[in-house]
Amino acid sequence: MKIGWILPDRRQTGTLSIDWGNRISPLHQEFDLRTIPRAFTLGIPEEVIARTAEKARIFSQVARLDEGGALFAGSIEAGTDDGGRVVVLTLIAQLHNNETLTADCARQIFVPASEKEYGEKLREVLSKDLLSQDSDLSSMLVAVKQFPLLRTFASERLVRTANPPDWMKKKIFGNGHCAG
Amino acid sequence: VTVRWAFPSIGSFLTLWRSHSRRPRRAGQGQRRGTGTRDAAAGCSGPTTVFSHSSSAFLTSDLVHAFKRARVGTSNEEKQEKMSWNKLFFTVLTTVVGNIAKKGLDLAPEFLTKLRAWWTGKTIAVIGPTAAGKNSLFNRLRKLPIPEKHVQTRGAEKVANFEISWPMPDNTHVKFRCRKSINIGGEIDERERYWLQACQNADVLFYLLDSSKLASSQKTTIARYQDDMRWLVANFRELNPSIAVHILLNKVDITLGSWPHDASATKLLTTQVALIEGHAKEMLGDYFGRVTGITPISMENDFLFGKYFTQALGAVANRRQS
Repeated sequence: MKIGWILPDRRQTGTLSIDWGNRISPLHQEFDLRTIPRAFTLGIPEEVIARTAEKARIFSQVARLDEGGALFAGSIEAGTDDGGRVVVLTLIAQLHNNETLTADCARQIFVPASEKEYGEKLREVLSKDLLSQDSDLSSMLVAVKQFPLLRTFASERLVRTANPPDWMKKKIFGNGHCAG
Repeated sequence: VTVRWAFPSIGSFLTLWRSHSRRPRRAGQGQRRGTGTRDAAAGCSGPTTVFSHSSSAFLTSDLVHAFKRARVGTSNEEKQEKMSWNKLFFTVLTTVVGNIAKKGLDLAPEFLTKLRAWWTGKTIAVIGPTAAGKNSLFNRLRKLPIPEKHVQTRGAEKVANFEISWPMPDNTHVKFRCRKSINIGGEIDERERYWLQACQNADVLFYLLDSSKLASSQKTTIARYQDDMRWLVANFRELNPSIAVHILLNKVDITLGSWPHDASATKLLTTQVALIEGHAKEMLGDYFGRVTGITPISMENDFLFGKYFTQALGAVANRRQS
């Protein structure tokens, strides 16, 4: 498992950076972005932020990659940028085949020095949600195991997205089956 | 097509002028220079579209007459503000397209019919760097209120079909629908993932650039702009063969600051327009023919947005029809 943090672009530079713990690089240089399914958002869709009044709630996603393995992302609101816009801190984990994120593992994740407050908050919520069977995150991870042929999963229902994930919480499939 | 762009009737002009928004810009979105009357000055400006190369560049004397008539009953300061703002855009236009004949807009019924027909059902895409005003433009077009919480856009979000109401000189409106638009973020990783998706079905591409950032950090802003132009060149083949690109130079109200605008503010805007035109020519090469113009604009001001966006629409339709 390789862990990185996509840092908020607080100065509106237009380039998001990823902190690997020992180095920080531009996000677009670290991933072949064409291989990441479009439904996997590197952050939080606006509609989720708009309807989430509750603070310290994370938006989680999983994407199975063509070349094997998967990506997990957990994102949290991280204050505002220089222009007053809400920005997001995202934990991204590159998982090997059949590897999953556990609460123990989450507790040991490093926190980026520049985003200590929000990093610790995200880590705390993530650990708590991974332990709780009722959390949206746990429901999503159950679905990941339950539907091995689906590629993309999200812990929130997305209505406005142009690239809907294959599985969303409370998504109704064509056969009327409610998967969430 | 020879066109003559007429200003709306003096009645509607005054109504718009009196009712235009004086909503203050949010903290952190840019600093006002001086105090007080910037919005008032902005609200009195007339429409101007700066064409990069179009033979149909226009700015009408009707506008000047409208301003002259509008001065009746206003204070000297207000008169000066209005004329100052108007003159400024004349200066910008003259500098950039001074050698291009300014033709009048003949808004004959048949021409309006053609414009309406051209725009009806068109799909637009809005792209541009981070915080250039893409969300605000969509909100403006959809007549949505400015949200309390501004959010950095991540991912691609469908924009519900919406209708644009286009004011005409005879106080009527041409209405047309925009469909299948997608709102996207402006960061480089978002550009690589979603911009093409947003642009693929578009008939018209609005590229937004932040004038205030161009003023405060020109080097990085131009570098990003050039990079985006390179992206366009690399992806033009994937787009609608007849796609039109229109550049909106947003947040000019911040760049110019409060009235009275000094000579340096005027010069700055003129330089900016010339600069982005020059880089577009250089970077786009043969594709520069797709560019229908560069229009200064402000999303923050009702009056400015209404007038200048209307001009941009006219410029696109006129250019694509000719």
